[in-house]
Amino acid sequence: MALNPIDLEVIWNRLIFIAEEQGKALYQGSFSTIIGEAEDFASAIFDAKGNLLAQAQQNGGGTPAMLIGMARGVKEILRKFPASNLVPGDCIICNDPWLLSGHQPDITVIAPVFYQGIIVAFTGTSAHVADMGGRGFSADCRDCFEEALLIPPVKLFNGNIPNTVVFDFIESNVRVPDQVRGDLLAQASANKIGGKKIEDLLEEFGLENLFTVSEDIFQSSEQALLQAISNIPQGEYQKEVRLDGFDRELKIIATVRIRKSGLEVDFEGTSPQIDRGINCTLNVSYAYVSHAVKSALVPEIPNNEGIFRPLRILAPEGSLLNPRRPAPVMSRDVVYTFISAAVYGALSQAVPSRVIADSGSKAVTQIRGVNLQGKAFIYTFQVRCGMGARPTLDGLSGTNYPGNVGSVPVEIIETVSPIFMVKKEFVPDSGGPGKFRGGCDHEMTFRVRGDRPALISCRFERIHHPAKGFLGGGDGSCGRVILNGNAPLHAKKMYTLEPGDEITVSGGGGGGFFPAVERAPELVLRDVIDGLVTVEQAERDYKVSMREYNDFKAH
Amino acid sequence: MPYQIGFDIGGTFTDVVFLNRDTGELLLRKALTTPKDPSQSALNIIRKAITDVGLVDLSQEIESIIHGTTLVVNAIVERRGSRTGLITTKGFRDIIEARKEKRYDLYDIFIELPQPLVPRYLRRGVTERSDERGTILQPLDLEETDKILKDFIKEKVESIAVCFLHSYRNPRHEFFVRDLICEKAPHITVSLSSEVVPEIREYERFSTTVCNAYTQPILAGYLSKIEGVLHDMGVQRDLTVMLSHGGIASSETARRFPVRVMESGPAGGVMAASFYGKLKGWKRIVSFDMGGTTAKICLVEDGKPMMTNDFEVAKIHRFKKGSGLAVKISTVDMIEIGAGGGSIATIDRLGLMKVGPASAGANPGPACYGLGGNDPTVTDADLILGYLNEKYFLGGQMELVHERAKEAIEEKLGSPLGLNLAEVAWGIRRVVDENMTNAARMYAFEKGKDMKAYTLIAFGGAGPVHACALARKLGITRVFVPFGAGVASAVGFLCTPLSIDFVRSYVTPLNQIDLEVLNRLLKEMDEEGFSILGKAGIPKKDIEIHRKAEMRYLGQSHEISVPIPAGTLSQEDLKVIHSTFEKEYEQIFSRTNPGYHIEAINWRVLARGPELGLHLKSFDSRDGNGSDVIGKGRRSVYFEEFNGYDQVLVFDRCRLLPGSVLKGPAIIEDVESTTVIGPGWTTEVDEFLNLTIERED
Repeated sequence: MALNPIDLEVIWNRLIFIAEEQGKALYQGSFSTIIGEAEDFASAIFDAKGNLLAQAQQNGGGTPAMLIGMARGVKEILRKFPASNLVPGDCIICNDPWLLSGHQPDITVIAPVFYQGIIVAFTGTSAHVADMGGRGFSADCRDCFEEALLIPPVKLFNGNIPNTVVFDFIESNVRVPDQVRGDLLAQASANKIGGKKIEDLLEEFGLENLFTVSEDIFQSSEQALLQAISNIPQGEYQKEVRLDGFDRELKIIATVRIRKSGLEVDFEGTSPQIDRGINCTLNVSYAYVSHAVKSALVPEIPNNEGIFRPLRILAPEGSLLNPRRPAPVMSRDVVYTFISAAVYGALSQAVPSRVIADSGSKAVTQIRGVNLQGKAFIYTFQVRCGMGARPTLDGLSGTNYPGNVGSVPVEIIETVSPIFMVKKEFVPDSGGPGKFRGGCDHEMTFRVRGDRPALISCRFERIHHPAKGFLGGGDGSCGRVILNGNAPLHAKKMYTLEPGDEITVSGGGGGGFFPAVERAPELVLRDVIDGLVTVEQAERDYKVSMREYNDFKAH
Repeated sequence: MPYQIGFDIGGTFTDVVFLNRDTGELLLRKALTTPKDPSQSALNIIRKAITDVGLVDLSQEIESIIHGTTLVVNAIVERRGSRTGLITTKGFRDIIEARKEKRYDLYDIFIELPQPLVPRYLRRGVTERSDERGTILQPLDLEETDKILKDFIKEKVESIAVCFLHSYRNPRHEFFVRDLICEKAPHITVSLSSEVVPEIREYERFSTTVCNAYTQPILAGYLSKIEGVLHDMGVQRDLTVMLSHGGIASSETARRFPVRVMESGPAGGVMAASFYGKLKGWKRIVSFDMGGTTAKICLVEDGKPMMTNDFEVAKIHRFKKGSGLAVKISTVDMIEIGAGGGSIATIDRLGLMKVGPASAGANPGPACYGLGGNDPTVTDADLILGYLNEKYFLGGQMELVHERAKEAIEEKLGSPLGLNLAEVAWGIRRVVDENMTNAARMYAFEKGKDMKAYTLIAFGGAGPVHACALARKLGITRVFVPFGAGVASAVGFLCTPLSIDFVRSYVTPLNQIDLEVLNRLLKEMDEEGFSILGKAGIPKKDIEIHRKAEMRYLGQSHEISVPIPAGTLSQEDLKVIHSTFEKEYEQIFSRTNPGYHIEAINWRVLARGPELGLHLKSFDSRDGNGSDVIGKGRRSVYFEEFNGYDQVLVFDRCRLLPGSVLKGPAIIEDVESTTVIGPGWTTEVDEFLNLTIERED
């Protein structure tokens, strides 16, 4: 390290806080519930070459795809906009799924930070806006052109002057232009705030640029990850996972190679890309590998370029995890759970104490139509699933993993949209049995009020492929998509909901960890009393006699 | 001789203050809290203080008695509350466990959340439903409710939380359930979400109501006990209680809403800072309280602390937002940072030095306490740097061991980092000050404030040691260290007016507001305020009403707080509200969003009694001319400006003369704390022996 460990700590910490402030500004200023309530956004600082320096953790810890996709995309975007083409006040916008986070509603805004006339850093924000046109948040488009508007890297602001052509184009292509414009302005404004704080930092610490700081950050992080990798027995670990796909089963094969020089994940053998919108661009695949590896090996080290350096990710071109343009990609978020599952599955063979069993699939759905006041509405909201069990703990119920987008309160959903929630509750026997039980599934039933039909985009997974348990733990339950209590729907198609139709959705329970028979009987009893495990499951899977429970009930 | 008594029962210490309102004399007492029965230690000190002061006729001599306590928070953290049941809308009984369905840490696979206060089998759904406008869609099924109640009685439930969807718009069903419980099981206490916090967003409302129900019986029993003893002693005035929003209220209000008592101690500290700000005529203040484990920072403007309605209790990770149980109450808006005298310095796996949030606490405490602690802490660094006097810690009650501090720092940090003792000690100091600076900046930023124009008021054991350094980093040019800063919370109680606040959700765009609805709910809250404060003996003419609303641009999720005019509102007033919103929005975000509609969410009313002037006893300047200050000699002290150690003058706070002016660098030692004055700072001593420390910008 060129800086002493105290200077580096102080400056690094400040950079993270700048990313936090930038994230907070976006969060507070945003116009859609998916950003403002569910917190699906990210905030980061890059060095002058576009390497990730710091990212917000508290204000904008959205999804790995967004965070890491942006980190990988900035350098590419800067190829189109070399430093000589940029002036203070510029903002570049882009939503290209191949360059960034893998689907079009995630808008990234990047702004150069100038200090004493030269570019010293870039600020970046990424946010899932309410709409990007096309067929909305759907899984059954045939190519990315059908899905949504694609924005190549272009200037949203030219030296503080808004590029009205770009704004006009975007606003003319989306269903809720006011919300989208509001979000874009909130992003640009947040970037500007981040930039100002970076200038202040340089001033305060008497620095001319961030070259030394960034190299120190990268090197120390890289060394820490390499050190952690060197503690894993060298060799090759492979895991195959299967998923529902669109209309036939797909597979992901992850081969993790532990070497002295780093960690390589090879997805050779993974299914080819399909002509429906669940393909994950390489950035998304990269993001979920990086997230899993960092979580398992160096969870506490702030994310930055140095954490990426020891990683190598290979995915065959044209595969589900590295599709060619113009593959449809909008609903790649139903697949990334499986990337994570495959990587943890492989790692479980090497470091079983540092992994998490499979989690259910989060269920995000979008409904659009006409609201009670006769106006167009489009509403995206989420239902959770069970998180996988850990080697020392049960999985969390109703919490998704590895993505981390929150829910929107029922009372807010009902206030801002014509959706009516009938039920939102944990599902008994849904958590995979294990010494540590998988988290319980969270099922939601709703309908659309009013006398007009509405469109629903189903984008669910794990209807046929449950979350697997680890090291002898049992599988979680499967998810469901049911119309009016009895008719299963295709989990990835769009449907028209007639007035009064009720739809029930869930993403499945988390997998268990270690065999169920090893679970402490009092914990099984507690789950039975709480209605999370039935007497039948307790006796069948946990082999715990429920005489005690019957005594308890009699008492 | 009218006396006011303030007493604050904290987790470790109980502080008692007696104020003679005629002379302004303060009697300060501090003792260890008796954890089993916290009222015991307080009552013992009060008894003793009564003897010390020589009070005879308590019914005449005690004018008021104000209490703050951590009992409610501790009951939740330690799970010592009552057996609680939850009755909610059928289909939604897991709301309090599913929370916001978000992980507070993206990378921690071993993440944990606090267990809900009500186990699932005591969370029951009942058939009923209202919509977002309060229209009843499905009537309450009384038979089902009755069956649940019978079950609860069988389960020996002591307290019930009733939480229905959209009850903030229409509380009728919750009232029905309460009526039923009162009729069938009057021994069970009831908390209604529509009364505890009638605000939209079910997780926060339900969670708050459950916390309230869980702690209601325990707080009620505790307050009755204290009141009983006080009454037996002859005190006739009613006990009042400090609430988290920086107002005091009758013990009756505290009994109904224990969640409002949660932050009473820290709120007292902020109120003390507000008081000193008013005393000195400063409008903008940063209250900075740094103790053994944490530092707390709060902005105060025009004597009014910043407020928030987001609070969390029982956090799994004390400094991670989202790791606790949500409590939606109005609280003085403090940021709490894992930075205190006991914060431990370590080297992480990147080879960088981290300070806190782990703390050595009081036992074993910092290495220099010599109680067996081996970890280097902030206090150890402060000792090595010469800021603390090993012979005069806590006024000499405790000796610090220089050698232990040196060993700990050199062994655990110096050798591995390859830095010398002074470099590491200074490094600990820089890192902890930087941690506080970052958090403070973030906090001010969220509010659109720039701290440069504020005065930092420092208290707590470590506050005055770090105040100048923190101020410098924040660009603040004036620091103030009050006399007797060690019991600031209890002092704060004495200058806090009676007040109570209310909230109602009425979500509507401003241009579609139904003035009749709005005026009705504002009036309801006004009336409730008059009634509660009236019962406490405040005449209506002395009651101030402050109204606020949370508003945002239509479509946004985050509201800002906007002042609302008093009285019956007209269309004209709505225009005023509109422009006030834009002004406030611009202040925070440096921009507005022209063309977007504005939406109101929650409406709040704060009813306040008159300000109590607290007249402290002043010290005359004797015959000193200001420069004739008695020093305690010099010692070697480290300052960045010196690039090392140099000889610095040391003074005894109690022997300073009013009107004296001291040029920094200097050290001023007090019983509870030490004030470190950096080079370039000048200190003036006022007639109350408070220190005002200023720096040329």
